[in-house]
Amino acid sequence: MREKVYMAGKLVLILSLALSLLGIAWADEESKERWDLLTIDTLKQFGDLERPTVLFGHDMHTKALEKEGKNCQTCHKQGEKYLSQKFLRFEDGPDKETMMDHFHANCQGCHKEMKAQGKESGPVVCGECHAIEPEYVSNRVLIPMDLSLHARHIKELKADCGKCHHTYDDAAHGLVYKKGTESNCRDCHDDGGMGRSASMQTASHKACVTCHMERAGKNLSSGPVECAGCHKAEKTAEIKKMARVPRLQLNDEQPDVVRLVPSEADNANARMTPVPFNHKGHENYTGRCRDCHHDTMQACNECHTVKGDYKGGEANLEAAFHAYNAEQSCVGCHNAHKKEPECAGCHTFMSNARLADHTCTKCHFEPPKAEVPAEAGEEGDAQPTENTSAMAAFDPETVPYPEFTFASSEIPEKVTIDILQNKYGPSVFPHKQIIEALRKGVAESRMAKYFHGGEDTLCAGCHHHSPVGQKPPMCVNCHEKEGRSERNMFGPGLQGAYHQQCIGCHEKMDVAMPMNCVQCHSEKADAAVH
Amino acid sequence: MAVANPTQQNTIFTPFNIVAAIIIAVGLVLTVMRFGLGLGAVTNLDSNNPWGLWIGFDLLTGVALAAGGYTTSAGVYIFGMKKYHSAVRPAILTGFLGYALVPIALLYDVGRPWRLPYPFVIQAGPTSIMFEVAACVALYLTVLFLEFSPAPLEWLGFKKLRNIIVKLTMVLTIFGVILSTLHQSSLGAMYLIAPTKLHPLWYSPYLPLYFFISSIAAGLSMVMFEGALSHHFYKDRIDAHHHSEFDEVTLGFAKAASWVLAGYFALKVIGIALDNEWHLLNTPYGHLFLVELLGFVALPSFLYAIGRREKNLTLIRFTALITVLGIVFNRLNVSLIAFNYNLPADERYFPHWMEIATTLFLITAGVLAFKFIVTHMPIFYDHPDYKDQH
Amino acid sequence: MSVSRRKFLKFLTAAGAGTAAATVGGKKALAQHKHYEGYPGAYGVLHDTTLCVGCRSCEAACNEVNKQPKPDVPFDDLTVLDKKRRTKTNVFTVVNKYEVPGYGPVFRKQQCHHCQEPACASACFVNAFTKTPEGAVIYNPNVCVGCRYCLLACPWSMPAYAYDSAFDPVVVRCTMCHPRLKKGLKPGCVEACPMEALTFGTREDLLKIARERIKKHPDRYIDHIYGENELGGTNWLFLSGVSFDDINLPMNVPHHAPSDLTGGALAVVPAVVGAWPVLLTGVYAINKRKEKIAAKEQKEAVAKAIAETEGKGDEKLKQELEKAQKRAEAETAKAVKKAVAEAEAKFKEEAKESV
Repeated sequence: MREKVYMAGKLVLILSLALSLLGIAWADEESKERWDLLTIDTLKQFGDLERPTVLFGHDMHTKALEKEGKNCQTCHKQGEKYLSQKFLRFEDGPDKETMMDHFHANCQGCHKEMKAQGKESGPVVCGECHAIEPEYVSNRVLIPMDLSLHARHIKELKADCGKCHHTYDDAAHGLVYKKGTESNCRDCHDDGGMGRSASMQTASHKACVTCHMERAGKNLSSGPVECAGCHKAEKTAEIKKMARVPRLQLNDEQPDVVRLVPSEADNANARMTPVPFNHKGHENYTGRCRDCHHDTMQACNECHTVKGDYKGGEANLEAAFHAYNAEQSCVGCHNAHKKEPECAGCHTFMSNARLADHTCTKCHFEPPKAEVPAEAGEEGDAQPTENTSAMAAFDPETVPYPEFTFASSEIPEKVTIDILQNKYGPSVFPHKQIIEALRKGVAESRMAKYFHGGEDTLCAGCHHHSPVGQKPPMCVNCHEKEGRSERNMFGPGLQGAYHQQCIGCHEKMDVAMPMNCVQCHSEKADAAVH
Repeated sequence: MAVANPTQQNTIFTPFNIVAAIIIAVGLVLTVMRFGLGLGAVTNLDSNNPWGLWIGFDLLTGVALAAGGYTTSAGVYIFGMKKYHSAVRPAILTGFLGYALVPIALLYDVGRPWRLPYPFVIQAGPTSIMFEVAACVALYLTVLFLEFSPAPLEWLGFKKLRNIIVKLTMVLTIFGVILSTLHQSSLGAMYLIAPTKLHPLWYSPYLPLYFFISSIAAGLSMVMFEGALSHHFYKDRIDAHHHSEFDEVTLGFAKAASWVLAGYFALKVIGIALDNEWHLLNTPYGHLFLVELLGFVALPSFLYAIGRREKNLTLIRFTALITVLGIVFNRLNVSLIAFNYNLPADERYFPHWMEIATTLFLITAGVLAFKFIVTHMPIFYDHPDYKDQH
Repeated sequence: MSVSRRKFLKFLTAAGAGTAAATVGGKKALAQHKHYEGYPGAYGVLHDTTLCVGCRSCEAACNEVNKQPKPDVPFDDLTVLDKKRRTKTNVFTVVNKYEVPGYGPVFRKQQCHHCQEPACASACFVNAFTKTPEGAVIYNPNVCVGCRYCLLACPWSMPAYAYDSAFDPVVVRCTMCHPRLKKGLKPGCVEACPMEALTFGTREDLLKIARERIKKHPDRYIDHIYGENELGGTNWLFLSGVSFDDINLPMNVPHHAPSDLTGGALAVVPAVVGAWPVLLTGVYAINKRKEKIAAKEQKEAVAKAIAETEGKGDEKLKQELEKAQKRAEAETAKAVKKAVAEAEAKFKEEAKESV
């Protein structure tokens, strides 16, 4: 008895020590990334899982089967129209045991068979598939069906919209194509596949992959059939982009310009002058319709009301257009663009959270000459634009870039900043050169051209919080030499203001950063530099 | 400690003495280096890892293992378990030597050892747990010295003084228990201030309680373990009375230790539940924690119970060894292994060989002192003059 | 530590004693007492990491102000940023570069955070640390014993220790240029920062400034001022565009003063000192009494046994005596009878003979 107790004690000690050491060793190992990982958790529907879910590399298996001369049907049953997306079955079995046996028999069966033939094979031991810390982690990306990709599909499919778009017909108990009902896929197919619609994952693989395979079989131009084609970041980056995407042919429903007004019922609450929105102009900048329209393709005012209610997720009309951090709002999207290097140099110093008051009229104004139709309140209400040429006056695409009102000779060539001299001598600032670079940059962006074409806004990038003029106030008027002051509590002192402005702009605009002090400052003859 | 071979009794070149001499020689050289060149010359300590082996082992473990002194004396004098009386003196001696090592280890560890009395004579920092520790160690060392002093006084023949101190036994014991409670627990409380550095499985608001309770188990186990060694090596020094009582002491202590460890286990589990840290158990540090909790707390508690039931003294002594190792493991976990757990590996601490050698030096010095005292003073036997006084 | 602070801490301990004696403190609890807001008008520094460009001007200025030896690598060599560094005995501050995926490099200056209720001061058993009304935490090397508990207590491990000194080892950390503050000057690093990524001011003002920046640029900053509440508030504050955990400012630092962590354990001291002697003498007395009672009972039992034995003996004796008497009487009677009978017989015989 005594001996046994000793042995048990020793065994427990040694085992537990070994375990903890192993644990430490495991934790250090890093996981490898793959794009084609499927999580096999079919048994979840029958209750809690006993073992970890299995990560399955789909492309890995496709490749291995290809080597053996086998095809998709090895694992997927061929249905009437489609290949079943499930593994060797059409429907799940009635209970846990059936499903478990199904996977074990078929997965292990094949692996064992391959092994018996002396070929490279997959795991047969429980823990190798049901791994607590799997060998791989997923780096799958989702491929966006943007307007360019959409246009390429239209071209290849010869505008046969019914190839993809459909709606459920109650009478026919099936999917039919009805012209004019096209919407975003996600209007019906969401992530979970709730209700009678399949999940986006199921629907897209069924539609896309099947069609791609068919066309490939017929030697027609086709898209990817392997996971990597749509889900591997390196591969999706290679997908061709159309330089100029032709506009969608949506008959009456896609106006060139639309006035963003509240719905008719809500109209009494309207206060602001409605914005004449250049719909056509924005189409090339947003990747997809969904980027503004959410999933539904409805007009903004169908859900967002002036006072806001549940339909619009409690976002009222003002928020729908102005929420500074929302993906779909005008301001939110513009703010996102302001973070791009061309814009961030100046905009990083400006608050994104609140628009300056004087900018309201940049969007809220009566359009110059012609009547612009109100946004469609209900389907079919919209009128085609009769006088699109009238829009030219405020269409950044056509409007010429205004010349500066200042004569070129009036803009200082160089500005010598010598007010703060301590360790270093003055800094000579290439004022005109920088203005010219900025103006050139602005000319290349339609948004920038529209919002700050003139010197008032362009100069304000540096000469902020002061009226436009040829003699702007000096920096030291607000930013004091001694540093942050009581008067200008929230702003930096003079030294900080200069450096934040210059270095901040260089940094944000990806302009070569000054690597040391003497790149901007002249060295003082007598200075003891650090 | 090979006194066993009778043929070598008369030579001083026993294997034990040779090894001890080497360790002492190296220790003396290291001592010179430490005090002449500074901490940096002999330790791997740095600003991220301010406390190393000397605190984690010498201080924390030394104090925990010296807890036999107060547990035994409290049991015998306060709780009236007179049948264990013969265990008191060895336990007090171990306690005294264990505690004496603390200030000596601190002399090595603190930057300016000559200022150790400063908190009491120059400027006190009573908000510091360290102040509590320092005050308690200083006071308790005095108390232990007094509790231990009858032995040398009997040896030296100072009867009057001896009798006065023996009369104080009860007061000293109560002082001893108060001070031990406070500073066994305050050693744990020292780590309360570092919740971000100590791994959450070991960090708990109950840390002081854990240290206190585990010190009782450590003290009891140490009395059993060290007693077993003494009874093996010092047969000739132990009188029949001590010898006959010792087995009963072992059985009684095993029962007590089993219960204390069971309580300690329950408290640890409650601590995990209180902070809801179950999810951390299945991590490398969690496995380490489970090894400590199951292998060094639950297992010995169970084995003690079996040993006591079957009156299996060998099993009990083996269990005492596990418990002692478990306490060492726990103190090292708190102070070194699970401390600074979120620092990258290259910034973690591992003791320099010179730190380990210095620790060995101090332990060896302690063992030599123990040897000297038990061979010269009435520890394992009653002094003939005081045979009937208990 | 100044008098008022000490008083305050005493108050803390006293307040804690009532509530915490039984619980030995709690990780989250113990917030019942009034929160200490720090010295009014105490100075601090706001470090805006979104503005810092890692130029190391602060390091150079710190080195100069504190008259430290020049490092081997000059301060304008920015390659040192590629390696993680920490404060050392002759380096009070360092700037570290943190590569944050998807964001780019973030530079963060490291130095003492100058807590309102410093962990180091709370940990020091000789009171070597003082929180000055100006906001700086300063250190007195003349009492330091060198136990390095302050290094362990600091959640940011900011104090450095002179391990290489055998006779004069000291704890070294940023002083917030306390001597300069006294003269009305800013700390050296703040004055040197070209980007004004370091802003000097009263802690109240700095909090306002920090909140204003977050409000104005909600997409540039994480909505958190590191040091506003960390460890009960620090006088050095941080703003960041990335998670503070990514720039080695752990978010799990408790939001209350270190005294809240240890106050409970300290509050137990009077409880133990007060209760243990009573309890233990009680136990002792009970045991003694038990022994006494046991002894008394034993004595009584013995006495009773003896008494009982004695009682029984008397009766027996009496009976014996009576028996003996009876026996004696009987024997006497017998003897008399016998004598009488013998006498009669003799008389009869004599009469027969005489007939």
